[in-house]
Amino acid sequence: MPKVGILPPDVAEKIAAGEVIERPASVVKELVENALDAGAQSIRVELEKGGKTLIRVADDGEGMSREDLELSFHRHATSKIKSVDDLFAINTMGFRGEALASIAAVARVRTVTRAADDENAWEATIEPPSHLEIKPAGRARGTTVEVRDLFFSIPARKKFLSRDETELGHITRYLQAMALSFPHVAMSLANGKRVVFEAGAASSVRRRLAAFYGEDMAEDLLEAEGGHEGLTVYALIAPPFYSRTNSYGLYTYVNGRYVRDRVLSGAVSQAFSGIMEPRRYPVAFVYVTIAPEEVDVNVHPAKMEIRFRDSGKVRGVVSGVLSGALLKADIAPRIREGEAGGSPRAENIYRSIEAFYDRRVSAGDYGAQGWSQGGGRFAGQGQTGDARTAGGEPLGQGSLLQVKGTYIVQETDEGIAIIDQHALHERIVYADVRRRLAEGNLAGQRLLIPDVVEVTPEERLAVERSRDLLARLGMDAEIFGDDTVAFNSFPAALADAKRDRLARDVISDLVASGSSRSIDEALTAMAELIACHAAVRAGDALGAEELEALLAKAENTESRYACPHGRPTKLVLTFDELERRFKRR
Amino acid sequence: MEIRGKREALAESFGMAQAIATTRSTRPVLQNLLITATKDGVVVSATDMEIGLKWHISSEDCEVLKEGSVLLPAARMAQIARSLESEEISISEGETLCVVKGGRSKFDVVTENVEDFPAIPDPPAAAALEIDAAKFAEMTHKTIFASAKESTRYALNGVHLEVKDGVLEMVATDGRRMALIKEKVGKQAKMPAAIVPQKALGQVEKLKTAAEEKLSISISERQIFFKAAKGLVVSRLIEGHFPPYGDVIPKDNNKKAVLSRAGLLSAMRQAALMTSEESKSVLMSFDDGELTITGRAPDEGTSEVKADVKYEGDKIDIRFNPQFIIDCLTVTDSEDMTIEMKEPSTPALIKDQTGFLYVAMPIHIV
Repeated sequence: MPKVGILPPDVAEKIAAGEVIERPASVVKELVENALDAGAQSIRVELEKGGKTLIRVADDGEGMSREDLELSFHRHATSKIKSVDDLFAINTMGFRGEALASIAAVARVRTVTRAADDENAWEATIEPPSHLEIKPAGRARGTTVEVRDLFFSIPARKKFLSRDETELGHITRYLQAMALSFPHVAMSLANGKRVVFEAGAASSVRRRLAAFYGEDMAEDLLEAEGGHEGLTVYALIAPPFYSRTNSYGLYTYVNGRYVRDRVLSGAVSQAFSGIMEPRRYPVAFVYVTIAPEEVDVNVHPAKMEIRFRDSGKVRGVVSGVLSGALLKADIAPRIREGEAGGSPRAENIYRSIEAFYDRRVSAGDYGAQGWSQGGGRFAGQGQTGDARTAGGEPLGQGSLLQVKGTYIVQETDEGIAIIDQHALHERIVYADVRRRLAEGNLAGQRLLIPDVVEVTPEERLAVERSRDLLARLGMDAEIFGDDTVAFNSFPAALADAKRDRLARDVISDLVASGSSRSIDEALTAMAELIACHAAVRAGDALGAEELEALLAKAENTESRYACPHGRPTKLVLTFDELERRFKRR
Repeated sequence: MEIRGKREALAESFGMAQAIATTRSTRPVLQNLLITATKDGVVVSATDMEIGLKWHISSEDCEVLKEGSVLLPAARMAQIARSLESEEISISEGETLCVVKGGRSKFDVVTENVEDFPAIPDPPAAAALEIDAAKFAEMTHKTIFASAKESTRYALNGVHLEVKDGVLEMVATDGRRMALIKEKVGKQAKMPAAIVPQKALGQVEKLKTAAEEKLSISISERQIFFKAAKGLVVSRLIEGHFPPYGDVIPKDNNKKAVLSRAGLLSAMRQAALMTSEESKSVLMSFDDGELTITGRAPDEGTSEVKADVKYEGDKIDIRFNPQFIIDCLTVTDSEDMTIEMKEPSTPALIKDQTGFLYVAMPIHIV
């Protein structure tokens, strides 16, 4: 007997089906895509046990005739492509003609459908293996597909399904992603008796986002639009303070199709680099439209993965469009009453401000020391005072107040801006350093007598390796023996007092990063260090003129709403919010 | 204790004391001034533990009616003495309060326990050197600006004083520029090197009350004393090593430029208008007979200012923080200045016509 045998058709079918249908979410995906391709304006998804026992997808699309219904259960039966050539210019969501056949291979399927011009609806039930039964039924225009007992025919696969909640999570993620791509299609999802979400038809993506993320965020989303050579990008970007600790806030689409793609997520990260804290992920919705022949969606049956013909170009254009919008926009966080969907960080900030006001009131009212001492936050701090009175001349916009030698409070058209002076100045210096680096090397202030730093052998090697890099930054480092490095010059931007700290930080950074970094990465890291040390510190008292000069300089600085490490430089307490909180309305 | 004196004299002494008394609340007793009345006269003292002041008010200016001492808040007393309109003020100690009177005004001021106030040491019997007080003030003025503001190398936060072969040398540096001035004080003068805090030298300047007054300077192990006719300032010395400044003064700078101080100052100020706060620098280009100073502020514009110079030799382009140059030009009133240079990355030596030396480190771009 030969060892190699041809698989019986039902086994082969199950293997093929297994590629398309991995879990309940795959079923939902196939069915929802069919519904969208059928022009549905409303799609309802109902589940039992996270889709393990029942998935029902009902739409109001164009429906199928009796003949089409029958054909739809055959593998590779599709209305969407006819030849191989069409594969490379796919405009529809589904195209493989595998959906119903694959599902029917692993579950019990019942379909009820009625085409627009048909007097009757038709009901098809199929019980594996391939016993199809079709009979007349009643239904309005559209199609309902019911999938029961998924994987009942493949117990091995069934065992690998996760808990109901996990499966429901996958479906929710997917359906929400589709809802964000097709705002005009009403979509709802229910599991058992629980409605997971219900999104009515929306006029725009932004309105649809409001349904999922709340009005505040929808309002704060920055719009980015642009393109290059047949590639267009539309994106709604949440300002960095909405960032999260995981990547679930990022939705990327190519030609309406929700995809997970490294090229796109990389492009988004690139746009956010330097304005978001490390290890946080942006919230962004990015819609890429590209000529169908420029992208291969036929990489995997589940179709979440794609391949771009020219990924470098896609990455460049997408990150360019996004960073353009981020650089221009005012991305200072708004302080708002915490509400569902609001950023947890804004909420924390809001809480700490509330605590601050509470403290102030109690100290002023009951504190033995009264306003002149502990209770008077605005008095007795030395360098405070209204810039209007201190400087003589009124400032351009509102007056400035330095609080705790750390924050600058400013009246603006919109409300009260609270600025972290160190973070802001750091950004300004950083921008200056980057600009100078782009033009050439940094100026180094030479020293009369070199600053000598004791180093370990490892540190000495790191400095030795990086001498050229340091020289470009205006730091002329010389090695003396095994344990000493002398710096003959320091970046001119740096104040005298901060040299030794910068030297130590630079050396630690060189050791920590090893030799793996590119020159550009290393320069960026060094520029950040220099900016951090050259900037005014929290606690540095600033005079009215200095405050004014700082803010004036900020006006001309890119990305001024975040320091180079991505911490925000400014919070805004709007007059609206003040009025709400004082119950004036 | 009871005294009666001229308002002006008392206001002056209280003002001096206020400048030294601390405003910090970590040791509240140091916010006070001490008035000591003896048969020798009245002494007002104050200290922040770094610097101490003893100020003598002559018996012409203040009469001792009853000997004793009293500790009073320095800031309040200075304000009171300043704002009273009477010719005279009387201060008399009561049980718990001190009564301050002037004209038709009266203040009852709470006193502190005199025992809590730290003793201010007296200078050693023999002074190390004597110098004209005005001369010393001038030397201070020409060096103190170059000292560091809050360097972690504490030695640089002070001014270095040393007598070598009958010459007093005062030097200050922040590591990027250095100012040095010398003055003959006589062969008999002997004083070890000392680093004096900036704040103390600021107080010493106020000791001078008359023209051609002498200042005597003496040193103990940890302290330096400046004594003039009316007062004594004692200061703790800054411990640490001052850089070997003699080695820093360039010896072989062969490119020499001579130019008008006022002309250079004006040109430098103009060129500096177009520099950025974050990294201020201007480029000085010395060529035959002409100095060109250029500045650039990114995104804002550039400046180019020319000035006459006596310069022969190869053209040199050298870059400086303009403030460093402006600083040394404003502390002297010489007609002409000399700048000696060698290379764009090596120190420049600037001199006035009185022996004042200034070393400025350039800014260099690799």
